[in-house]
This record gives sequence, C-alpha cells and structure tokens, in this order.
Amino acid sequence: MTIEGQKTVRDKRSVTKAGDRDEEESVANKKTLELCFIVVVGLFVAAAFISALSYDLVSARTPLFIMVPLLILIGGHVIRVKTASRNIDVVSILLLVVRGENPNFNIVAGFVGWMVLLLALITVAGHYVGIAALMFILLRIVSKEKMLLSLAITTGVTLMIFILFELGFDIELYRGAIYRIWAGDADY
Amino acid sequence: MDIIEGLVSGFFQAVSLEVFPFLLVGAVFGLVIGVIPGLSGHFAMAMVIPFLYAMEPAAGIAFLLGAHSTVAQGGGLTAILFSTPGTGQNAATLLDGPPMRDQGLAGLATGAALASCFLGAAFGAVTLALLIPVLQQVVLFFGPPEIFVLAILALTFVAVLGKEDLTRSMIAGLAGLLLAMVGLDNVTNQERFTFGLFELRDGLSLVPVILGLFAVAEMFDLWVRRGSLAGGMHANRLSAKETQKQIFQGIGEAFKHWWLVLRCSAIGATMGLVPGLGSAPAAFVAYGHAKQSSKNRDTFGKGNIEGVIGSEAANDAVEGGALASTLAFGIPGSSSMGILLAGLFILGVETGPNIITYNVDLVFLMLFTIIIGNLIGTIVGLFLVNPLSRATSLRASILVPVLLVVVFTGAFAVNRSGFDIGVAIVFGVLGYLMKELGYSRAALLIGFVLGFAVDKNLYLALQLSGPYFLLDPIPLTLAIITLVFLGYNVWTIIRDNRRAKNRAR
Repeated sequence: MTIEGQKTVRDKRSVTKAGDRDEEESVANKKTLELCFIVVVGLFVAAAFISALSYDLVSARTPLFIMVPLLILIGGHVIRVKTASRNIDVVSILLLVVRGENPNFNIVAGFVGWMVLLLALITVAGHYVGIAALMFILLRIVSKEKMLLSLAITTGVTLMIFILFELGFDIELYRGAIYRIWAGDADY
Repeated sequence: MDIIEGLVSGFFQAVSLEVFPFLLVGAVFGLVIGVIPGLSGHFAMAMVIPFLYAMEPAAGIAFLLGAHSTVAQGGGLTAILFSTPGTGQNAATLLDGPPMRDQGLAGLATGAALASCFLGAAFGAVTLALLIPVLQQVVLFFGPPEIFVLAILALTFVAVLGKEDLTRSMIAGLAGLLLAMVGLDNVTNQERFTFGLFELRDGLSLVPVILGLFAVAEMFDLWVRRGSLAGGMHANRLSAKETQKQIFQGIGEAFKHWWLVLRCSAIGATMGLVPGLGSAPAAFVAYGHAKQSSKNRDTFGKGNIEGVIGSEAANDAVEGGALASTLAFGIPGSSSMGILLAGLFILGVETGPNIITYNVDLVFLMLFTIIIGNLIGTIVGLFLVNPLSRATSLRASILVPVLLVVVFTGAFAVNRSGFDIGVAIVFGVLGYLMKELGYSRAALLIGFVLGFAVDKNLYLALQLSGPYFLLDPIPLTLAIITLVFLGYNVWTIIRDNRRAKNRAR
C-alpha cells in the first residue's frame, strides 16, 4: 500500500472512532436526560399523591386509582434506567450541562429562554409587541436572516395576526400592563 | 333524525357556502403541512384548533377534518419525490415510491398515490356509514361502568400497540389521566392539584395542552435540527408536461387496480377500528398483503406501483374506522382522534349515543368532509405537484418563528389568558422531551382527553352499581380483555429479554 493509501485508511479509522465516540456520548447524554426527566416526573407525582391524601374520599378516589400504578411504573422505570446507565458518569455529564458545555442543551435552553422572554414581553408591552420582538430576534439576531426579510416577515405576520384575530374573529389580544395602567384599567 | 335524512343533510351541509370554503382551506392547509417533513397530521389539527372557537359546529368540523384528511396525501408526495415521508404514516410508500421516481416514473407513482388515498378515504367513510346502524344499537349497552372500563382498555391498547416502549407509554397514559384531574372536582367542589394557582381551578385547558404537545414541541425539534426542512433530500423536480401526463396515467392505474385498493382499504378500515394501531402499521400490513397477492412479487421494493397503491389506500381508509370508536364511545384511538375529540368539545358537539342517534347528520358531514377533502387534495396535487414540493425548501429558521407566534396567539385567544401561553410553553418542553426520549405523546393526550370520562364514569358507575360494577357482563369482559392483552404483551417482553440474554451468553 502506498503512503497516501495508508494515510487514507488511518483517516477513515479515526473518523469511525470519532463517530463511535459521538454516538456513545449521545447515548450517555440521552440516558442522563431520561434519568433526570423520570425523577422529576416521579417527584411531581409523589407530591400529587401526598396532596391527594388530604382530599375528600370521593375526590381522591380517581387520582389515587391512577397514581398507585403510575408510581409503581415510575419506580420500576427509574431502576431500569439507572441499571442501563450504570457505566455512565451522570454527575460529570450534569456538570458539563451546568457549565454550558453541552451544545444541544444550550440550543434548547436558549429557545426556552426566548419563549419566556416572549411571555414577559407580552405581559408588560402587549401581544403584538411581544410576538413582533420574538420573531425579529429569532429571524435577525439568532438565525442571521437578511434585515429586509426579517422586517418583512415580522411586519407581515403581525399584521396578518391582527387582521385574523381582531378583525376576523373579534378577539382583542392583550394590550400589555403598561397600556392598561396608562388607560386607567385597575385590572391590568 | 333517521340515517337517510342525516346522509342528505350531511352532504348538503358539506357543500354549502357556509361550510365548503372552510373545508377547502383546511384541505389545502393539510396538504401543505403533509408535504413538509417533520410536521404531521396532528400538527395540522393542533394548528386549526384555536380557530374553532369562532366557528359554527359544521364549519369547524369541516375545517378540522379537512386539514387532517389531506395530510397523508401531502406526505405521500414527499415520500415519492424526496425519499422522506412527510408524515410517519407514509413510511411504507418509501419502499416502492422512490425506486419508481429513480426510473423516471415519479408522476405515475404520485398520481397512483393521490388517487389511492382518495379511494381509500372514500372506502373508510363508506365503512363508517355502514357501521352507523350497528353502532346505534351497540352504544345503547354502554353506560358509565362500560365506558369507564372501555376507556382503560383503549388507553392500554394505545400504550401497548404504539411504536414506543410499553413502560414509557403506560407512564405517559397514566400521567395524561392524572393531568385531567387538575382543577375543581365537579362532585365535591374540592380543588385538586391546583397548588394554590387560581388559573388552574378550571383545570388545564385542552387547547394550550394540545398546541404545546404537538405544535410547540415540533417547533423545538425543527429549531434544534435547523437547516432546510428538506435537508439531505435530493430534490428531483419533474418537467411539468411529463409529470402531468404521468399523474393522469397513475390515477388510471389506481382505478385499474380497484380490487387491490378495495382489499387494502378494508385492511386499513379494520385496523382503524382498533385503538392505538394507527395508519403506519395499517400501511405496512396492506403493503405486505399487496406483495403476497401480487403476480410480480419480485419487483416489490424495486418500484412496483402496487406497493404504492396498497399502502396509500390503507393509509387513508384507517380514518373511517378510527372515527367509529371515537364518535360512538367518545374513546379516541390515536392522537389525531384525541385532537378531533377536543375539537368537538370546543364546538359543543357531544360524542357517544347522542351524536350517533340524534346528530347523525354531523357524522355524515364528517364522512363527506373526508371524501371531499381527499378529492380536493387529489385535484390540487394533480396540478400543483411542483409548487407543493417547494414547500420542503422552507428553512426552519423562517418557519419556526412564524408558526410559533401563530401557535401562541392561538393559545391566548382560547380563554384570552396569558397563562395559557405559559401552559403551551411548558407542554412544548414536555412534548419535546417526550419525543426525544421515546415517551408516547399520543398516550399522554388520549389519557388527558379520557381523564374527564374516566373520572365522571367511575363516580357514576360506583353510584349506580356499587363497587361490584366490574362484575357486570360487559365491564367484566372488557376488563378481562384488558388484563389478558396487557399480560400477554408483558410476558412476550420478558420472554424476548430472556432470549436476548441467553443469546448474549
């Protein structure tokens, strides 16, 4: 085999190894995520179970009928996921996530952050300002779309929503706390 | 209202000026959503739900079902042209559609797929129509004890027969039931699981939950994947003239194979009756049947038109069967039927004996909506294959912000409450995590929709028949079926695991 041929084989092997490592990392991340997910769900259900014990018998009957098998299933599943992830260092994966070194988690967390911002903007400045700001931020700042395209889409969609909901369905979208206070509405 | 009166009234409602425009818009919307990979039938229905509040029942039903009925047609188009099914239910079309395209027969496959979808949907609708007189008699035997056990049976079927892992699906289904308990208990006025939040006293609103689970979660997925929605697919656009000619030939082929269409549609309609099975398995079973019964078995998988016809016919025939159990008992068998049921609640249409007996015109309206919707899909698909296929080149970076604000506006508009936008966001995150981790969102939604029925019917069953209501003949039979079905599936899982372990040793 020529030197170049040997180099190609080496390159291919290193690509395969890197691919395997990525795959392993992805599986480990997923198992850690599932472990966290099912534990959080379990805690919520446990809290609901304790809460249901204080209800009238008639009101507690159906929830308890649902929660007993649910808690058993969650318990069994936690053991199953934990067994499957015994070779995974869950703590170090979680530390990476906390340090912001997991790109996928960062994208999802960032996206959730934008949506929380939308909710805050709607509450303070109103629905139209909120949705227009979110669209513009996601189009122009996050996705780096062209300014003209971003402005056109933001304006067009906001206008379309106004026409559809306010004029078409006669539904007044929330004007925001600032407007309400300014307009003297006590229930803002 | 008798059946003939209902049939005539249903037809004239479907083609009336008050209803038809909504059906048309819904059908075209569904077709476009079907073409876009990653967006599915339940996404189309979820997007339509917020608009139902401003509509009359007939128009709302036509809009909702119109959108749902054409999704599979759009998905079939993408499967053939781009080798990626627009929706999961078109996966079987991948086996013979793309090989036909590679042989320069994309138009033929597309035409056959569009026409088979229409014929399958018509068959499913006729099946439902024929079932109505039977269902009218059967529902009379179903009181609260029977409905309660039937709901549990349906949820078990959905969890077991879904494509996800059994334990995860059971957890999702039971969690859905539990979420339905949030709010004031109608009997005792006791607040349940509100944790002091005033906004939760009326329970979680259906619309933001649906929008979150199926629309916001899809937006998350698209945003994380980024790029063009057709990423990785090689666009293989056709010359307009040649395409048109082939499409008409394809339609002719579907009619020429009418016996195959009929058999595969029967498979689809029958499988649609079983909660949890859905379109994708029906399409694969029909494909298998088409292959087994064909004289040209060897060419299956290499571009046999019978493979496309069989799977696409079964795909759409499922809806008729699925509608039967949803309408007659108020028990949805799939996420789409769960959303339909939610839509019917919003429109003030009561399912169960009421709709089958007194509002049978609405049932026929649904049947005609499915048939006419698919006809619209076929006609639009006939002439607009190339423009439609361009929808796949939309970038997620543009599509996501636009759809997201429409979804949030829809969530707000339902109760005019900002809290509901928060609910949609929370359920969006939950839906995305469930999708990523393989938890069944369909089971969660069906559990949530059935939760109200389970709570009410358990209370009524205990009041009417006491704690031994389970020993009545129908509830006992249904309970035994549930336990045997669940037990058998758990046993097969344990057996398979043991075999795998033994093999590993």
